[in-house]
Amino acid sequence: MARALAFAWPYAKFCIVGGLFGRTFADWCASVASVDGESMSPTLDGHQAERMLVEKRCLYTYDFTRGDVVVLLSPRNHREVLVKRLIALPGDWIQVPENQEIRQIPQGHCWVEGDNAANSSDSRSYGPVSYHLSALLACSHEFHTLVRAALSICGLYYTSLTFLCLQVPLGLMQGRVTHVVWPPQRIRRVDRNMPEGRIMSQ
Amino acid sequence: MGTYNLLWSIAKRNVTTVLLGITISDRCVNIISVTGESMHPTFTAADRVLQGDFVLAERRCLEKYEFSHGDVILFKCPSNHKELFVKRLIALPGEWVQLPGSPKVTKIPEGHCWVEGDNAARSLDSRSFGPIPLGLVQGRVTHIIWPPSKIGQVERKMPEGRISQI
Repeated sequence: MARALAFAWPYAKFCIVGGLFGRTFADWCASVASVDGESMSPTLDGHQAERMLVEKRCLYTYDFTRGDVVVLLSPRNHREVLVKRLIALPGDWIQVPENQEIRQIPQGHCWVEGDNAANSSDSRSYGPVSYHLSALLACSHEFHTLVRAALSICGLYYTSLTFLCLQVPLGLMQGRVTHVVWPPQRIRRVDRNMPEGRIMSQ
Repeated sequence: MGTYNLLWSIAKRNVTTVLLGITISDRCVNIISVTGESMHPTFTAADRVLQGDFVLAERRCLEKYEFSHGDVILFKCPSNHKELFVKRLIALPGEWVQLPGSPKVTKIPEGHCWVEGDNAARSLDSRSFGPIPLGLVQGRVTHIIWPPSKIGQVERKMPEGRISQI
């Protein structure tokens, strides 16, 4: 018995230390995560089972730049992890898309948006309610605007749109996406990219 | 050659200890020094790190987010992500909190919670910055471990009649 233990112990030690090292590395340096959903397409596409490299070193000094793709905990559900683009930093003035309002980002907060919101007026990206309605009723641009207005009066559209654009405390940040590492034909850098004319920085 | 082997084994042992230390402090338990007056008398009012109480903050609760009303929790301040605050958890998502001194009642949105300091007069808490996302919580304070006169468990305490669930 003792001999079997003595034989297995170096391997067990190696596994334990390897596990500790891997976990610490994933928490503090970089890890790989998979993408789900469409809010960041075409930058990150969940349907192709993409895996992205999330680097954590930005968290040491909270050194984020406008236009970074970041990973954060959802303010509505602490168990959910979101991937969005950081549009504005504390002190910036931003134009909120849905109601033309201009808002200043308070201290310690930032504004994040999914890429898909900027790209299309197709309400498919705005959540299940709007998607089904647009599929049924579509599709002139004017009609879309009418549908959106009606839904926002009922409070339904606004809810699903704000899921894609959020003001969140910087403390929820979990990392920054730098590359897509899988599948092999989609390996590439994820670039910084800012939507035009949305913010005025201090 | 012998020296090299000795140095290597020392290095290995140190690295393993460091890794173990980091993992324990990230995932199990952490020792924090509490400064400031917002939790008086639960924690001593102190200005400097060495004068404050040292407390044990357990991080296992984060895996399941099992918090009860009256727990003392550690969280990142919403208006300054580099600072950690220690306050008492008063209300969980979906509950209604009555702001003291006014008839207004606020509902805590999903994924958020309401925190307040025990020393209401000198505490910067949810009464100023509103409910905080649960994702900002970094741990739960369970015991005071220094000074020796205060060693013991940190009790759960709730102020009367502040919350209601509908």
